[in-house]
Amino acid sequence: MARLHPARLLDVVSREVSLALLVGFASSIVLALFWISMTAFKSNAELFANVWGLPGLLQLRNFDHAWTIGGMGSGFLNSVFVAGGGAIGVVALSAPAAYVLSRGEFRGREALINLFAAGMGAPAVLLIIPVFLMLNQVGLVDSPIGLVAVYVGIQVPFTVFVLIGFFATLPVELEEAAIVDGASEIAVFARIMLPLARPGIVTALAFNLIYLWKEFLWGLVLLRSQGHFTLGVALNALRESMSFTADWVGLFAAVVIVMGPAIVAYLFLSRRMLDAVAFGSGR
Amino acid sequence: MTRRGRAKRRLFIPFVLPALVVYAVIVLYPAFQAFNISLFEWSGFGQTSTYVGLRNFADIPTDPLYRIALTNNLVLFFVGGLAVFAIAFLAVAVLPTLGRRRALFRAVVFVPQVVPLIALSVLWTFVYNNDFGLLNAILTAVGIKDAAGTAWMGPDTIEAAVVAALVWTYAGFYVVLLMAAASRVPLDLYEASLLDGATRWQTFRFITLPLIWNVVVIGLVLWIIDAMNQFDFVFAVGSTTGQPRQEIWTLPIYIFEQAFGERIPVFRLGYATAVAVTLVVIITVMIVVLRRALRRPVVEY
Repeated sequence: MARLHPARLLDVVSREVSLALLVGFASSIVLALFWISMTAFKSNAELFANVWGLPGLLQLRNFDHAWTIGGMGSGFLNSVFVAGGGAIGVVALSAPAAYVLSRGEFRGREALINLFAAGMGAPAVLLIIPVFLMLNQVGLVDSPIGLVAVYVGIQVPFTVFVLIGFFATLPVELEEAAIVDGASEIAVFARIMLPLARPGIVTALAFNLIYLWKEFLWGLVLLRSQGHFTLGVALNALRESMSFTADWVGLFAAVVIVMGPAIVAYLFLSRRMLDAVAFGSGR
Repeated sequence: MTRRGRAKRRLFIPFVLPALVVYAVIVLYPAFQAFNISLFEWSGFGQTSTYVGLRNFADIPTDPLYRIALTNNLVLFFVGGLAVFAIAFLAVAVLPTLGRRRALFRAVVFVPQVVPLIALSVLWTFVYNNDFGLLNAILTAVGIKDAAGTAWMGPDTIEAAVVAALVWTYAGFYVVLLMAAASRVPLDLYEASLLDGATRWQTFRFITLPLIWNVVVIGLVLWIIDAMNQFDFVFAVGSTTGQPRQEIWTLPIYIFEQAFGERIPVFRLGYATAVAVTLVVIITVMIVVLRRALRRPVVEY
């Protein structure tokens, strides 16, 4: 057997250690998800007797409690409405804009793109007070519609940016041929470019859906009555009630209700989303 | 201008204007409005406000809570950033030997990115609990009895605990970002380097890192934004009340508490907005300085 040079030996050892660390990191994520799901099915007595123990009887009651008394049922419907409405709204609004900005030869195109890009850096905390005041004036505080409007607005910069990237990859020749054949610009966009840009549209929808499903600060600021709470805000309210209910297993059932749909969506969309991050556009 | 150019210009009104208007109403106008509000003393929604010029900004340097919050943001940025990028660099360095399991690793470490942070803060509150928390259970199991009774959410360790949890939460994004960049580097470059007798560290340092440098800088800019805007996790972790723990406040939490806080409403809208303006300035300066400091000639391959 060939003797290893000391530097190479160190290299091999450090490689094994690095691998062990990375595998440990990934395993801790799987373990955390498993532990949360398992705990959601236990009773409180089981949880505090042994945090690692498997559930005896599956306590479906936890989910029932979280869904009804815990407010996660209405939170779920509200989140579907605001995250779904926000994601569809912002993509519908941004796709035509991104198409023209990716193609147009008009003056001020660069400046417009920069103007949209600037919005990606605006922190939510800068906007919460002025936007709250504005929505208050038009009676849209504590309103799911108001929250959807905010979601659409704050996601325009990111969505326009991602979609410009996709439209820019589509060949110009197709449009030109269609125009020569007498199709209108709008028909070209709707019938030719939009179908071609479908992977980009789906990616933009997926990122917006997951981002808005996760969104917490705007919901916390704008929603006041429990019936309007999104899942994140409802989970936060349930968490605050722990100091007097101590129903931790119910809280973990609520956590499963909050993260479950996002993880299921991720299972279907992970390849596309990870590629988008690789693309540099996953934000 | 060509005929096509003119046609596209006609499309401007129906295609671009709606997005522009919504963006202007929800983001641009309120952003400018914020700078205006920061010049007023204003004690609540519905109250009248008084113009005070830059006095809100003048009050900031002597505000102890501001200092705590900004320090926590910077600790998260520097200490957390070191750990996040150490993990990402480690993944990039051992990447070529991970084979097909690479895809699985990438998919798994990204999962925390899709889970709402408020849900993760519930998990970590339980992990750090001193009586029945997971961390102390693990420490007991492996025989580190001395540390096993630690109240991790106590005042001395809570900031470190929060930073560690956020590193765990965010590292996956940066792993995916940097691994993707490194996988665009041709494999034969690694192989040639290793064949020439370079160690893995040397290969990483002299081959991979220069070739992915641009993406590293993009990653650092994103980390500035993540670390300085941190709100959700810190808002909920380690407390079962409506009031986040003051030892771990970040500037976004401080702004929220000044303007909307539930337990101790202060309703200092002008001051809160002034703090938000300073946050924007700090983030912008950090990004500009970082990009300047890390500028390198692009390596072609």
